[in-house]
Amino acid sequence: MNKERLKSVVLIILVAFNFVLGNRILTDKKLWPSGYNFFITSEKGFLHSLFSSEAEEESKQLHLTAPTQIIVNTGDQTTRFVVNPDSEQFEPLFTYISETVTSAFRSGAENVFSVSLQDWYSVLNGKSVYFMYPFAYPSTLYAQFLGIETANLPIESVCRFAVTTSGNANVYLEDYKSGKVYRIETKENAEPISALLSRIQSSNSSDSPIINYSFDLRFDQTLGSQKIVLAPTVPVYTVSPKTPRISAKNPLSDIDRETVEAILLAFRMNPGGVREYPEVSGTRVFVDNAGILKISPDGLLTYQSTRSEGLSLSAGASQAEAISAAADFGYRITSICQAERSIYLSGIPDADTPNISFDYCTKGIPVLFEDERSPHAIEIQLENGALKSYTQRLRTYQPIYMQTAPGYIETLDKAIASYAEAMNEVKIQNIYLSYTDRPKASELSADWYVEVENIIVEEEEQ
Amino acid sequence: MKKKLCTILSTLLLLTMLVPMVCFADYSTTIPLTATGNSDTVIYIKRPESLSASTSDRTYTISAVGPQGTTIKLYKYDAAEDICKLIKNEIQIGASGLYSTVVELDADQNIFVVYAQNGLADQVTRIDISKIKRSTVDRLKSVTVTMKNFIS
Repeated sequence: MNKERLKSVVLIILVAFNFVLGNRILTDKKLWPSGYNFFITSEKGFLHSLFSSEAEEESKQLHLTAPTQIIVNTGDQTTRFVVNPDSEQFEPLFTYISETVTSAFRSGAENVFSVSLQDWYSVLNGKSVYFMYPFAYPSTLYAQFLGIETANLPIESVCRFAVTTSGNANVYLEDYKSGKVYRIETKENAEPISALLSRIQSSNSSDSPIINYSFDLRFDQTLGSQKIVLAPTVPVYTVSPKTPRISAKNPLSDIDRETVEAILLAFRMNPGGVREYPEVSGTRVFVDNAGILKISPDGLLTYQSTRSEGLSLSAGASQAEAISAAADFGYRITSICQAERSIYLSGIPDADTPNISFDYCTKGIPVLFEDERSPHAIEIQLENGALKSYTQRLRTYQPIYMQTAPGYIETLDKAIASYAEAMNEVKIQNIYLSYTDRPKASELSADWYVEVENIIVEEEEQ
Repeated sequence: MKKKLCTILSTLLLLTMLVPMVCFADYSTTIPLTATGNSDTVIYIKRPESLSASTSDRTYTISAVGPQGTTIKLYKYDAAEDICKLIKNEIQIGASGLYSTVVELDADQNIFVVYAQNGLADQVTRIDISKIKRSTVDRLKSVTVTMKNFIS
């Protein structure tokens, strides 16, 4: 009897394993990789959600709503500090602020209050966590990334937030379109974040650069001969911070057959069935009846679907689901090619571009591309959840040594020196440290990137 | 002879009238606290707005704007020697017109002198920053909050 029971238990376990492993093979390995993959629906289905790890889901949310910069305001300018995305403290801090913002967005319109700029500045001069994004999210999309289907808020688009860290954790955010600032009250206690920040602060090095906000130095108001106006909440670094000089490499410089096959499979091209030929430039071209994949010697990978229906990525029709699927696909290619893993969402489709873009961030500093073929690390064009084109500049970065970044104000001086005579005023939307990568660059130094909002030019007298 | 004397005297008189108008003191490593410039429009101090401030912080950022080419030196008053000593070397304002510098604060009273020079015009601006204890700041904040509650 016992023997029979044991047999039954073993059989049940074996059957369960059969389903687990079978599902993994069907969804991850793709037994029918050449084009038509009817198992794509099961990737988003019940079986997949049952067996996929929770960490995978978290990482998806992390890179879609993770800010590019977090500044912890301690109440003093000397102890105010930056938490970079590559630091250990970033994830717990981001998790906390993400939960608080989610709670605020769920609380409804009755808890949203318009506040004065003075109140907004007081929050940034007091105890709070200030975080920002490289572009303005439509608030509904941002809410969807947080898992909120419909957020009934009177806010159009957001890119700058602050969460107070004393008393109740209230969320302040700047509406990018209208410039208005709102406070969303939550019932969350700020005690846990306050304790976390104290721990981070005690482990922080004492040589952190001193950060002021533009409004604090009154660089947001014109006076006398001042020609540059900085947006009020732009951080100003009077003393330059130290940043790493980095080496930049193409991870596919000596690409092996296995990696090529993995890339082809990711684009659902059959490695045995594609037609392959080299171009004069050395670019390897792979063609099948669904698309064309090109891998250039300098690391530019492009895919163009030749079918009108494209390559199905997302079963859902919402913009959030499409961007999420694009991010997952980008991560997959990045992992296969062993390119820089730290990627952030840097643009969504709008009136100017149909593409979703992602950029690399190394050592907490964004990397921008100066390349006419592709200004972003990854650009994905989706149409109704199907991939129409994919471009990725494959790069890996390694720190070489630390060096002092160029002067903040000196950079502004240089940026406007050439046309200072002809203009009345330049409005600067943002200034941040970044690396500028070029096609043949092997080493990069961080420099200030100046985002100009508009230039008011003097009218010539008639 | 008398005519020559008259010419010399009138030349001297003219010089004594013109020299203060066109000359400026070129201070180097020290400057007296009582020093004055021949202009007050070379630069505009933006922070502190009223040229004096109180803080519990260890450092303070002074900001200003001025025309391109203006040179700025920063001095700190040394009470023991009754003179202001150079603490920040000469910096030239660039095309942006912006200037900012971070200064370390001692306990109690800190007096800084900003010396700005552009062409023949120079400006001496005194800035007073009081360093107060954190507990005093907190007490002041609570008084403000109480007052606000009382008013509302």
